[in-house]
Amino acid sequence: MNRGSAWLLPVVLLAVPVTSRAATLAELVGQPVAEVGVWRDGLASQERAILELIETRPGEPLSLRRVRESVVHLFTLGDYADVQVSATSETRGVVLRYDLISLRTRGEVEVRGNLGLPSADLIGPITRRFGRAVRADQISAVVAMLEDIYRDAGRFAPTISADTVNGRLVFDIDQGPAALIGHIDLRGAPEEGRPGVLQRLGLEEGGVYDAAQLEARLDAYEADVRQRRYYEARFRHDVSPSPDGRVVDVVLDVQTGSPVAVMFEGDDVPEARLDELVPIAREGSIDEDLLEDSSLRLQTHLQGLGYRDARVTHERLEASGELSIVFTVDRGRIHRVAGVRFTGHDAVSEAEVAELFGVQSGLPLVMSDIERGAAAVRTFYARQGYSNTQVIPVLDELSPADADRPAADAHVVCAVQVIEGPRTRVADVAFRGNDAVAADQLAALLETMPGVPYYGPRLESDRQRVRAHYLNEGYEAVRVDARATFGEGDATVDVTFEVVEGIQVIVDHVLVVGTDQIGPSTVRAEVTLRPGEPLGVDDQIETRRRLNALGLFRRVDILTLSHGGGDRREVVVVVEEAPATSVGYGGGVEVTQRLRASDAGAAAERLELAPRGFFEIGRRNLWGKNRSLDLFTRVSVRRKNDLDAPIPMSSLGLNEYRLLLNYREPRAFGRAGDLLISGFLEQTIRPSFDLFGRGVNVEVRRAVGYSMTGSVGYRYGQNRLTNAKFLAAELPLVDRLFPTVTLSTLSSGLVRDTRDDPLEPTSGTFLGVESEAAFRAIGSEVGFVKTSFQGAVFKQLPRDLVFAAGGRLGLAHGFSRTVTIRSPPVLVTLDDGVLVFRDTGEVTPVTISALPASERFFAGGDTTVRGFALDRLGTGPLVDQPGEAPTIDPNGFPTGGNAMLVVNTELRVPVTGAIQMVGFFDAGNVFDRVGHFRFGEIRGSAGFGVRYRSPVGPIRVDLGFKLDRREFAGEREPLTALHFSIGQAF
Amino acid sequence: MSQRRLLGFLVRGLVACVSTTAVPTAAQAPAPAELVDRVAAVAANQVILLSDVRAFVALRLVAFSAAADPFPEVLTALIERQLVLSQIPANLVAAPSEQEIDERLGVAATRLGGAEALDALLPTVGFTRDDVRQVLRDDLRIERYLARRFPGARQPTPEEVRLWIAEHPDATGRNPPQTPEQAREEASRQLTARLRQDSIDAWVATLVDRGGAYRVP
Repeated sequence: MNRGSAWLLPVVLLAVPVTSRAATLAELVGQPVAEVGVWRDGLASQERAILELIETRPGEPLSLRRVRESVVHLFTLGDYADVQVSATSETRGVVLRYDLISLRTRGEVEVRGNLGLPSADLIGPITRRFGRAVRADQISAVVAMLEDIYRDAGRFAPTISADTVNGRLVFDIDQGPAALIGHIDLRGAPEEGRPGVLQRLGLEEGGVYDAAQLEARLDAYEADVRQRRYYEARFRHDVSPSPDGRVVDVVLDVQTGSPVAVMFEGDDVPEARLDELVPIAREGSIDEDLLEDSSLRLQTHLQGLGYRDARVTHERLEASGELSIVFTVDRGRIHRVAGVRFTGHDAVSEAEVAELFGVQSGLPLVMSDIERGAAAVRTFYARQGYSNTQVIPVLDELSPADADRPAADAHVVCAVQVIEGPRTRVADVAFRGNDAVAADQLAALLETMPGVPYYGPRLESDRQRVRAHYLNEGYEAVRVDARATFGEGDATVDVTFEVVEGIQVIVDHVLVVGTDQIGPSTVRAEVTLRPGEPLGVDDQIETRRRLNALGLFRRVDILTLSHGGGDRREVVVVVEEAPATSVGYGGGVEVTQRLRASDAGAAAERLELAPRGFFEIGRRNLWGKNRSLDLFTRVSVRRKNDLDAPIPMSSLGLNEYRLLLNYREPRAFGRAGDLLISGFLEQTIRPSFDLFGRGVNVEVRRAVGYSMTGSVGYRYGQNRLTNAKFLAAELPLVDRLFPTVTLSTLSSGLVRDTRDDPLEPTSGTFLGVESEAAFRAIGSEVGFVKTSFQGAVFKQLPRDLVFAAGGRLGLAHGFSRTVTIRSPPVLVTLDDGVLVFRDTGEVTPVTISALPASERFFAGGDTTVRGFALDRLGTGPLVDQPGEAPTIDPNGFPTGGNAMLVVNTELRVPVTGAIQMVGFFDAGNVFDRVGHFRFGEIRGSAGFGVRYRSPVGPIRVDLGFKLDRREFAGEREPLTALHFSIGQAF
Repeated sequence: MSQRRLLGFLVRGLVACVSTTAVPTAAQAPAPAELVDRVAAVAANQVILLSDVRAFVALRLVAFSAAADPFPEVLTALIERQLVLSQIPANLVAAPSEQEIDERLGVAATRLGGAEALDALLPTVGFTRDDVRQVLRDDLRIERYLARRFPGARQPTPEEVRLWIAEHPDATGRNPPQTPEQAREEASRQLTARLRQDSIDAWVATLVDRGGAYRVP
């Protein structure tokens, strides 16, 4: 530098650092943050859900650690391909800028162009494999997958490009030319010869190649050939496309193998079950595994019949171009149990051991039963602390009386020797390695404790309980071992639980991803995982259960992600919202056996067809919360009970309907429970009357634990009774005085439901009690209390049988009320001799205590006692108890009553995958008063039915038979009742 | 003052005025933004940040060559490290003791010039001592897992040993001078270690090929 220009140096030095150099990262750290901005795809964003995840806040010193955590939070949302943070140093401090670069796609992937295939066939595989949003780095894999799809469709030169259009990932596709078949190379020697094979497969050189169609035809061809006993047939094809993809050479590999004959030699085999035991023809296969299984099944079957020494072997014999599978059966003699003796069972009585062992004299000797019995005795002893008990069954064959007849039955005495060994009790329970959880806290989880008999499986379940406790406390890598150290003579045992706790994982943040219409707060309210608390397994399961129970989401995933190891985890709750508006409609025909008046006025049961339809529309997630509004309408074409109608058809119309508007608000009143407000308008045609009702129902429902639900409610409504079929004298006074009755009712209920499936339960129980009370003080015209108990138990039996039993008990009491009624007009003779009715003006006080028809109990029909038509049950027509009124009138029409009992039992037997047979027994009746309940009046029915498992639930047909039949108005009740319905009976 | 000198004086004065007036103007222009952090890669569902790479380099928690830009090399190492970690079942290897981690931490601090130097460096890379300890803990777990999964390698053939000695004369015999037998033993030891490392590298390569990681462009 020359002297003349040296003066410029300070000026340049002064200017350069300020204008061209950014502050280094190290210089920025610790400086106050002046401003934090978020830019999403280049646009400033103030989205609260994003800002909440940023931990660098204005006014605080810049911490790189917080920057790192913020980047991880934002990236974990899964919406961004990158999150970049840059900083600028200004005089007021550091300005931080978060740039969020969205994934190339948001929303669903789209396919356009000359597809040649339904778009669903392309979109479906993409979303199944890659999800709704495809990452930039996955696009090439998607293209490869699409090329494979087109290859299977015979397009070997598709053009596929990807681009982002309005935020959607669009695949522009030209399926390209269809490949034509060049040369066909046939391998194998099928009977049909080359022309026959090509004709069967619809192939010709120069034709269009369609891989899917060819595979389907090859499969069908192979199945046909296998049915002709070519069980080793294997038909495949392969192709070699030309470089331009326009021509493919096809190789057909058609290997039929030899025809196969299945033969049985030696003793007889059980023909009835042969297809099941040796399913070669059914499976169309002679795979060696299948043959071995068949031999074993056959042998086990024979042994189960008492052929203790049965042996079944198989071999493959090939002769004259035919393969034979020969099963050789040697049954041996049948063995029977001549007696069972027990020795050595000092601690357990003979009767108890015999019951546990279960093998009885006279029955065929089945070794598996002997082994099962010995195991049951061993287990019983083990539960009492005898962990080394030996149960040794010794079989002693009695000398045959007719030794010259080798085929005669063998008789075997089973001598069971029990060597009890010492009884071990737990002396001490200790824990090691439990730094985080106190020993007494863990001990409280255990069933194994000092003084109790030692039982190994109990110790294992205790070990799992301890482990589950740690897992719920966030110790995800915990290892728990349980060691038993036996004392001298095995009289005592010291149990030690050795715990390797590992690190406790803590929830760092809970992030919610995937909400659009639904507010994240709705999701967060259901998340039981909390920042700063342990990441427990049960909390994850409970969160998933609660979110699914909302019914708002198609899919719920809970991901736990970490950054850099350590004990903190981000919990990402990923949801996919279900559509907010749902519409449903349908129609069908209801077929029921109903009571109708015969020409003589007596009740006659008729099978009625009633066309019906329904429409429902629902809107969920109102105002961003999980509130819902649903409208349900249903209408049936049914004849009214109109006695004045000149011809029955004139009373036909849309007479049965229901309109229900439901509003549901979850966690109302500060999470007290779900609030349900319903308005209803309905008309039902009952056997004895037509009933129109309207009203409002308000209910608060709350879950208590996992399986119990409690509810309290209030109902205000009006019911109008018309077209009553009772004889006038039989019509209860309350119905005559209040044909239109206003009811104001308080209710409460409790339900415990542990069924595995509410539509088709196979296990679990259902218990429910519901009480209602109507008082005049709150606006009801009549007062009453009413309680219904309901219970059902479902049990899975062997061979997928299901036993179901249920019962319902209804009890009601009406409060007395005195009303005055005008005396009926009397017939008087006027001076001129004319007879007229004259009102006397007299009023008579009467007391009523009955319930109105709408509140009385009725029974009979497809969900109660199935040998009877709807509501047909009742006591009468004659009753023999003083003061008792019949609940069925002399013509056979039910009047209903204040007490009801219904009992159901059912055995559900699977027949095929979708068909189920059912045998049932039902019993019950309806009584006028609770005090008039008599078991002798219970009426029973038995019957059978068929269930077809459809997508909307089991479709049910039941035929019930009355066990006793009564006569009404000279007509005997029909023997049967037929019911068609949807859903199980109870 | 000659006319020439006068002219020169005026020009310099003008330049000086422009320069000095330019200083405040330039100072008001926004300074270039410094990239603080970003997502560099995702491996086995774990995010690897640019700051992770910088921290591993600054704290010398990973070996890297003296290339001008160590970023690609270190990022590759971190991706592979995360993929290997994801393969280690939680209870298969014993958790490293705190004492072992302390020892490793001491070595790491020494490399940087002592504990004070380490502590001074940590805030500038966004790490805490706990983070470093976690890295060292994971390193120990990886070593134990690899020792268990790859306990050794096959014995090299005499021909391989001979070739190794020929290719690595310095490492196997010259310094300090060894007998031919000693050189063969040393070569065999080195070769065995090399073969084991090849096996590990091949396994890691399969992890990478399985597609459990991607770099953010």
